[in-house]
Amino acid sequence: MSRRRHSDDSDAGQPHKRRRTSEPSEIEERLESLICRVGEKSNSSLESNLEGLAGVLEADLPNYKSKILRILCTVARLLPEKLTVYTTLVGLLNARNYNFGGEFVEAMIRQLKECLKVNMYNEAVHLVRFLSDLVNCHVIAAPSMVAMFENFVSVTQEEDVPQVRCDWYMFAFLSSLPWVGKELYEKKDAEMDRLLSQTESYLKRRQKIHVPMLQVWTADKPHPQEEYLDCLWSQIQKLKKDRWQERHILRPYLAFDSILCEALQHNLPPFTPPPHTEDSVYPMPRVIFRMFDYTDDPEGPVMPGSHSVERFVIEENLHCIIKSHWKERKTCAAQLLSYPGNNKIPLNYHIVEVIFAELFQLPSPPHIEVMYTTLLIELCKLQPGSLPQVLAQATEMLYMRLDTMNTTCVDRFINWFSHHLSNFQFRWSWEDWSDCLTQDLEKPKPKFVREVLEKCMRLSYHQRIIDIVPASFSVLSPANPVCIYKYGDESNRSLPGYTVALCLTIAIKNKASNDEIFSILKDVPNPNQDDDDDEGFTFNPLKIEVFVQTLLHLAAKSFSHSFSALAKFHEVFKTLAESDEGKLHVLRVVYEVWKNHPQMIAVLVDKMIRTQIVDCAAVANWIFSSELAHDFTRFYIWEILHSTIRKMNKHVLKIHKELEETKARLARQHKRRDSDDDDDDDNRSSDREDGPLEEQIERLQEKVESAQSEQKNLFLVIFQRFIMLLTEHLVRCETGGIDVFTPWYKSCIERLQQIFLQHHQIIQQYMVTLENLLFTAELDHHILAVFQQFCALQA
Amino acid sequence: CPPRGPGRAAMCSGGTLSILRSDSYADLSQYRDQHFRGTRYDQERLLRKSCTLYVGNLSFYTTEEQIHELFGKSGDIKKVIMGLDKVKKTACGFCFVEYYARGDAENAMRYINGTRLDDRIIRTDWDAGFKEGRQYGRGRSGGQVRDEYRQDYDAGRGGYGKTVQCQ
Repeated sequence: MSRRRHSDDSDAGQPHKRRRTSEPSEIEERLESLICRVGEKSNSSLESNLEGLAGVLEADLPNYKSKILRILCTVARLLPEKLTVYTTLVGLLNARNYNFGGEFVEAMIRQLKECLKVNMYNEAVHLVRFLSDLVNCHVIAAPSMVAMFENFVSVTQEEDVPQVRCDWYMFAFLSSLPWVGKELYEKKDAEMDRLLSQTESYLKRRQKIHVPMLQVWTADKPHPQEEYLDCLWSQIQKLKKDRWQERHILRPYLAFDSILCEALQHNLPPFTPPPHTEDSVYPMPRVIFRMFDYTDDPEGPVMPGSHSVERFVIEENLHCIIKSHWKERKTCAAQLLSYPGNNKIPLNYHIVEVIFAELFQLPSPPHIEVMYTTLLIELCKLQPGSLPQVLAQATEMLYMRLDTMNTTCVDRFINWFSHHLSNFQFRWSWEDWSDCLTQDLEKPKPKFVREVLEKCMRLSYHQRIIDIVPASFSVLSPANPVCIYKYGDESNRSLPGYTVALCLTIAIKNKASNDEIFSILKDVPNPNQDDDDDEGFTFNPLKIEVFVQTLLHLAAKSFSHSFSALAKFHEVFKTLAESDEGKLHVLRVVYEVWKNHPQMIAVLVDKMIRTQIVDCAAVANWIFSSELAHDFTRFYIWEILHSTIRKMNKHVLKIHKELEETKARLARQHKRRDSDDDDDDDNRSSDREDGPLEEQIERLQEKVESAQSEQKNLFLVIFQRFIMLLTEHLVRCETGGIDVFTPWYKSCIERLQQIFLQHHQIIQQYMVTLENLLFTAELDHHILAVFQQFCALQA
Repeated sequence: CPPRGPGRAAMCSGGTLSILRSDSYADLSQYRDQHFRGTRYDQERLLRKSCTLYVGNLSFYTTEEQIHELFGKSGDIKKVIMGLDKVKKTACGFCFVEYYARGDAENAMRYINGTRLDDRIIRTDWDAGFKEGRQYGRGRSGGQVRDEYRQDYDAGRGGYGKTVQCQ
């Protein structure tokens, strides 16, 4: 017989209390679960499930109306891939309960206004689309929807507003038309024609300077990289030409037409778009990524054309599925593969295209890069007979088009492909790519293969890579990542500092202290000065060379060994690298020792920044120095630079956060005091209390300002160096009469673009300085164009 | 199951949906380190805010560099501590990866756990935090417990299990 548990006793004691507190949230959970799950795979048809659910909800309306309203509004906002399922549900509810329909529409408008107020524009589009599909469900009267769209389109007439604001309202209108265009045109064709003609004139006059910066390929063949509004407009024009016949979207409400057309409709209240404010941040423009067309899958169902509205709807829905399930890779893969219309569209191709569209999206992918690698692996697991082939085909196509692919996108391609291969024993038909062997190593294809092999090596080991590629590819194989110690051989004993290096080696092996190291280093002459300071601690490149070479060589065994070495001799490092030249020289020596092992260079630079042996500006200057010119176009250099910028950005954010938290603590302290104090006598004691916090705030304020200044300086240094480098090249080409557009130039100018794109939010703060100081009208137009494209992104 | 708090505040009145909150890869597993000094409650509190992951089923030949490259894909790594055989002081097939930010560790749980390193499916799990001594295997022979008793031959993990080897 089982022991009665304590909880059973309390249950018997207070049954009502327990049930009362758990019931409402249980019911809400149940309602949410019922609503969210409708439309999933089921034994019954979707129609009968919807009908059943409508009945359940109708019955629950008296008690749980506000909860049901909230849940329905939320699914409208967050599950746009199931748009028509939920509009049908709302339609059925409206048919049974007119007041509820009205309240739902009001709630949706309130939610839409809220979203626009807090810059949640992507979710606002889903709400607008939902409202428009409610016209099809006889919940909203068509004329009132047209009126709302008229207000949207009239935003394009506003003066002195950013183009991206007008773009959003235009997009919200156009992107709803696949769902509701037919119905609106049938009811209000004159008004719709007017709206469409206003759309056309807006699209003709809007500027598109930003487009080149966002394109994945610079070439228009085989697929043009269209600006998103242009592409959508072409799709809507074609839809109109087809008399608004749209056959892809699943419309469950059609089955309920007899019920729904009996329902009374509601009019949308007049909707005034909230005005533009300083705090408004609109979505960035996009370029539509296309890599497949109907010729790529000749066996299977035909892929809808690039200007067909079906293509738009499929892509929107697949993107929404990824957005909903990005944290759950198995669910995400399953949901993608169960997208309806499986046998009418080449779904695998659409999925692969949409995933690469996100992976290559500029400025940044919507989700962390590694997610896409793992998602594709999950998809391969679920469809082992078909998806891997599509992926291989895609890889081949991407390789073929490397010559015109944006450098940032090539980086992502390299990362994805090498990581993907590492999950499949590095099996690939490398011989298919032997065409790259005859090309100049700086050309995109051989460069890509080299970088891929280097990344593959980092995930395995050197010999493995030698083994997996054909012998002919050895010219592209990565170097064996061994350390180069200049004082290693007896034959180097004539090098200055050789004996000190030997001395140091013995001392370090015998666990010498920092002080002992200093005294050994004192004997190193300074090649820069004839009469040395007595201090001996001014910039002495030879001292740095001997110490850093020796230490790194001794600690070469692993990252951990090297990190320990940096930590143990931190004091020596700090002293030797006190000056800017010192910092630069440390970095130079690190490179000399580890140039075969870029990964080691990267982690050492990271550690040295974090332990303040070098600063971010030093790293930036080092990257642009002539010593690194040979490696300037290699991927690892830019990984290091962007990692450095990110560390700087995180540092600023961290101190800022500390400042805000301390301010909040002070505010709370005030509040506590105000509520405790009835008599306001002792002002001095409250000042005393505030003292330490106020001091802290002042210190932190200074820290923030200093960090922000360092951050701005870092960007200015980087931009300055780019301008110098590019100008030099342009002048040389002009005077020599040679073509500007070398592989190096393409890489360099796109790396400049990458700085703007990857850190655009921070850089926006410096626009005035950049315009007045660096990107002035005297600059060569090639370089100025990059700046102008960047400005156009949020204009 | 413990009642959840309001969850991350969404800016709109609607909040979010529990099916979209699902994050099973980043949730705590059933495993609890039996050697943990402290209460179950303390342990779970630490696991829930930890930035450190335990990584298992590594090959004995997998290096710190490979681990750094793979796990670096979800964010900046603070430290990698290789698991060692207590007797031989050589790698014995596990390690700890500590990130600066928990979000980066979560992404590793979502996207690196269950994928391959050195051709082996590796497994990651939350760790309450590295303490000196935890880098050693707890098997009687010095390696990990799982290598004491397993019957299969695994070339990347010293061949047969220790008890099999002793036969």
